[in-house]
Parts: sequence; structure tokens; C-alpha cells
Amino acid sequence: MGNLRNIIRDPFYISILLTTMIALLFFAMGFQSGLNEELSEADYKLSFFDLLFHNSFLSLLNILGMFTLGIFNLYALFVNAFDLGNILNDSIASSGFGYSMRKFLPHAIFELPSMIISLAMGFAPIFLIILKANNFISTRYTFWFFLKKVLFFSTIILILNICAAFMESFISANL
Amino acid sequence: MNRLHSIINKNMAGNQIFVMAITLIVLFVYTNAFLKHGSLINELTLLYTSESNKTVVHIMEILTSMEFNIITRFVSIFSVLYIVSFLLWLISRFDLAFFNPNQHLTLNFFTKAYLYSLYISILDFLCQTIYMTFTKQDIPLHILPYYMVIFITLQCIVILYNLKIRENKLYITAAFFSLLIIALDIAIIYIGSVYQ
Repeated sequence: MGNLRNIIRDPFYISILLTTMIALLFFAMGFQSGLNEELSEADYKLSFFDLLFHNSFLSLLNILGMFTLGIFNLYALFVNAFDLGNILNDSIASSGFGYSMRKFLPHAIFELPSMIISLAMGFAPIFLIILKANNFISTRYTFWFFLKKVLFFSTIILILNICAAFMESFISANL
Repeated sequence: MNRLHSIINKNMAGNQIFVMAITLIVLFVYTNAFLKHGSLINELTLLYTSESNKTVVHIMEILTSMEFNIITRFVSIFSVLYIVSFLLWLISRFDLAFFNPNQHLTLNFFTKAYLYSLYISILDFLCQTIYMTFTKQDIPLHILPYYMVIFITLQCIVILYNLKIRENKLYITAAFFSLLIIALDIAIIYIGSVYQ
């Protein structure tokens, strides 16, 4: 119970939690939209460094979205999660559930958490303000502590991006 | 019983959950009228009935849905509450440094001051709903900017009144916020005159 209280009092954890929930909602909307967008083949032909640079650049954009107080992140969250649901729906319809999961899971196991955490970081400042306004936040949350947390989560995102690029370029492409 | 009644009455108006609930109910009524009579919605509906691209049609359906309109308005109202309160709190640091170094004003004080001004927003939504219900159309474009200016200025006055400027010596905060609102009012009138 104590841990739950700490989670809902931390702007980073609460934004990760809410971003996951909203992403699931947009994913479900995309999945049942029936637009059937196809994934381009070019996505499977990128090298390790291309993928790492591409994903890290997008993550950086999401992190910088905190200066827009999450408006950019909300748009990016909608586009990414909606498209993902859409593409997965098309893949299951055309190639079956087993094949789609074999392609999707190794691809998403590192990239999705990285995307969710980087998108959630954009919402952290607004949650910090909300928690501070309602006196829900601990006094240790100073400007420097907030910056330390940003650095900590950015490192996690970079590690996840390295794993995702490795997975996509060496394992997922050969499946 | 009387005491309980007075406690409820005293705290209810400034209770955030209460204001959120009232806003949601009013937004539901307003959106219902807006989706029926709003000119923007009618134009969007006309646009997408002739559209063959499935993606565009799907996005238009989302944009014109009740849930989307309520959620976006609700989130933007309360996001603005926290952002403006935070901005005022930041500027008030100057006031505290120059005029009142011994006083400590929390962010909660500014949020509370803004919260009461949301009743003006609620009144604005109600007025628009009544207008749309009786006239079966939106507020005309040549009146809308002035209507918005009146409600924004009223909201600003309520916030400044709740901040107790003289008592708390928030002179820089009040001046900055008033300038911001005047600039916003001028921008609304200018944009309104351009798009008529």
C-alpha cells in the first residue's frame, strides 16, 4: 500500500501509468478501426546504427515534448498507438495470429517500453504541477531532483533503444 | 445539522472535485447543443460525407464525437488551470522577494484562486448552450470575439480578486497577469476581425 502511495505521488511513475493506459485505449481504437494500413518493407531493412539513431531521435523529441507540457506527446501517443493497433490488425487478418506475434513481440518488447517511457516524460512536468498544487508531492522534489530523474529515465530509454535496435537488426529480421 | 450545512456550503464551492463534476455536467449539456447546432461541426459533417478516404472519415468521426469533444474541453480547462496557476506562482516569487520577503505563498493558493474563476467558464458554457438551443445556431462570428473577451476579462477579475493583491502585495503578479489578459483580448479581437 505504501508503494502504491509513492507511485501515485511521483510525477514520473503516475505519467508512465497513465500513458500506458491511454496508449492501450488508442491501440484498441486503431485495432478496431478496420483501416488496415500496411507496414512498409523498408522498416525491416535498417542497420543497427540506423535504427538506434532513428529511435533515439524520436525518444529525444518525446522528451523535449515536456516543454510543450505534453501537447506534442499526446499527438505522438495517438499517432503511434493508433497506427500500431491498425498495423497489427492488418497483419493478423492477412498472416494469422501466430506469425504476427512472432514478428511483433521481438520488435515491441524493448521498443514499446522505450516509447511509453519517453512519451510519459513529456507529461511529467504537468503532473509535477498538479501534484504540487494539491500538496501530494514530497518536499524532496526540487528542480535538481526532477532533473536527476529526467537523466535517470533518459538513460533507461537509451539502454532500451540499444536493445531494441539489436533485436530488430539481428534477431527480428531473421525470424 | 446547521453547522454541517454551513461547512458543506463553505467548502463545496472551492472543492476541486465538485467543480470538476459541475464542469463535466455542463460540458455534457453544452456539447450536446454544440454537436447539434455548431456551425463548425456542420461544416465538418458536410466535408466528410463527400469524402471517400476511410482514414479521413474515421478521423472526422472521432473529431465530431461527443466523447472527444467533452474530454478535450475538460482536459484543456483543467490543464490551463494548473499551467496559469504555476505561472502566477512563479511570478509571485518576484513580489515576495521585493515587497513581502517574510510571506510564503503556496501553489495551492493560486490554484484555489483560479478554481473559483471556473464558475465564469461554466456560466459561459451555459450561456452558449441557451443561445444555441433557442436560436438553433452558433453565436455569430462578428459577436463571438467580444463575447469571449468579456468572459476572459471577467475570469481575470475573479482571479485577481481571489489573490487579494493588496493584502499579499502581489503587485508584479497582478500587473503581469493583467497585461497578459489585455494582450489575449486584443489578439482575440484582431483574429476575429481577420476571419469574419
